[in-house]
Amino acid sequence: MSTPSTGSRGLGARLYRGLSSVPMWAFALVWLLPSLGLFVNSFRTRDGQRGSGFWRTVPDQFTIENYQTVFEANTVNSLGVSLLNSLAISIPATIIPISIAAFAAYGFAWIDFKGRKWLFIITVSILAIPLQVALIPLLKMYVGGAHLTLPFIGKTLTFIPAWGINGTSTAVWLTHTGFAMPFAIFLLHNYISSLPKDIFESARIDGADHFTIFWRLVLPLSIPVLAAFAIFQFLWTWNDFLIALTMIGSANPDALPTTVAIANLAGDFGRNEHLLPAGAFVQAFVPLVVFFALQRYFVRGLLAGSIKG
Amino acid sequence: MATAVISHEEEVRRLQRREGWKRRLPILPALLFTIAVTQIPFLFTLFYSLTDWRIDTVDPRQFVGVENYVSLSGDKFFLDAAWISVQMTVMAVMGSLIVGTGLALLLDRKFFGQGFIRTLLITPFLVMPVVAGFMWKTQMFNATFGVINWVLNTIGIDSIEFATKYPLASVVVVLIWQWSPFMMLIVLAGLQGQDASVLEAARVDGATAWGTFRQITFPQLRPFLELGTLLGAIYLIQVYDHIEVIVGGQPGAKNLPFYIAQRSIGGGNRFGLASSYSIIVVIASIIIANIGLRVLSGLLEDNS
Repeated sequence: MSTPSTGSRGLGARLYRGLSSVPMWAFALVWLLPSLGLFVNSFRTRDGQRGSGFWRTVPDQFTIENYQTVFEANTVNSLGVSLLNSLAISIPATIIPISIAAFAAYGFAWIDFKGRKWLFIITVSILAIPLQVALIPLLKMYVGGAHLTLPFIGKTLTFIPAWGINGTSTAVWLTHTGFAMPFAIFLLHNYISSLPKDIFESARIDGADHFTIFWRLVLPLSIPVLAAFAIFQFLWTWNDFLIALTMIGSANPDALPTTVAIANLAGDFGRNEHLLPAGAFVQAFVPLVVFFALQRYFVRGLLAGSIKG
Repeated sequence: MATAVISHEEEVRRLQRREGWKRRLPILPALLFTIAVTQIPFLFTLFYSLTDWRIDTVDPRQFVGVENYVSLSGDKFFLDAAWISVQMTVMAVMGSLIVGTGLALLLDRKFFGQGFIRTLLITPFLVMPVVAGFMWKTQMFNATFGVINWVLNTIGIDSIEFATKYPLASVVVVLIWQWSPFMMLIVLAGLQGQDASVLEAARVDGATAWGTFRQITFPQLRPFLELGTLLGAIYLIQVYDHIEVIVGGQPGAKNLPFYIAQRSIGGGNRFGLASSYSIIVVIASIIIANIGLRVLSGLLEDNS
């Protein structure tokens, strides 16, 4: 609330305010209990973690060895390498859909053409495809390309050549880019279509073409929504497990991102499960930084264009 | 005079046509890419759904027509998964909306450490789903090491293996934990956009806190709640990782994405059949989304 309420100055009121924050702090503690438990366990020895709940930690179980092991270069699941792999996936998987979707959203919002409405509805409806079923066909396409053998004539048409990119981060961010497009276009379209009409009209009167309008007007004005989508997409791709597992999997252990590396810690008959808490905190650090750097745009970008008034 | 007007109009139309193509040209690359990456997998899926393709046998795939779709209506597991999907999405969205609104109302007052608490409350939204599932499974639900069971034990109740006994509820709780912060951020923006003088007037007129919330705050929050519902549902309908970690292959919490993955990449290997499930899901989602969007835009127009 921007206006301070009048009764907040007396000692009694200050005391009341101090006391009223106590339930909130208590609630926050309960809310964060799972995270706290994991955090405590990330500094406990393996035997400590296996012996009792985190609230029974005793000082001599304290260790920073988990964090050291997680970063050691010679272990199979070293997080140092996989952190870089994750960046090699998340950065293109965030920037590329934004660039393409922003332009497509501008087209859907401000350029008149036949079938615009239907094309928009179909594009956004693709949001509903469960990506799990598209994964293997995609993987097959990355390995062998896409061909169609015409019946009767027996001629084979090649739509997409065999790229052979399975097992690389390219396959992962390409897949993320594809699945991100509907939501990106939906979100950016909401925002861009709500920009005031006058600015486009006066720009056109001044002789600006669509490229100029897009680069000079739409992009600078759309920074909040671009940042909002970037947060969503970065979180989604950084935290993704299934696509990375399917596209890279065992084909190329050196290219695995953090999520798969961490899940591998939990697997392996639980032999390395005591390293998982430490790994999880290392993995969560990057999205925390990204979110808090961009958060002032996050809510503004989601709301503008979606809520009138 | 009249002929001059017509030819002028024709000239304008001709110019507009040319202009029309010039207008379309710049979005073509973006549009083509969008169509390629969103529609091609869909067409592949549609094609596979009409075949009996499995990847574990060397048999060439056969065209079987609508056989997959016919068998689907009698597939109890598919219907179960569809029902779980509906329950899971609705409960997770509603739950996180309610908790998120509660958090936002509590945060929308000044208190000591407000900014810090707000930051802490957001963090679950940033946690990787696999880790969130693992956290809750080991630190909260677990029969020996879980906090909930420790509390139950101290008040004299026997331990419960939550993830096994209440798989759906366990997954939903974790989803609510992760998505409430998101709803909180959206609702908080709605609360902060409120007119302070209206609230002051209500207070002066002797309105109760509950009355003020119901009569003034809630109607203003409605579009924000609807936006949260829409964005939350888009992500929550696709939940997979949480189920994998918390429940695994056990029955009771398999939603459609999980079941589809199980039947295809997860060892079932029946791609043709799984593809037909996906097509049904897409069609159902388009219908539901269309109705939903119409209701939503109707409501938004009422409000403005």
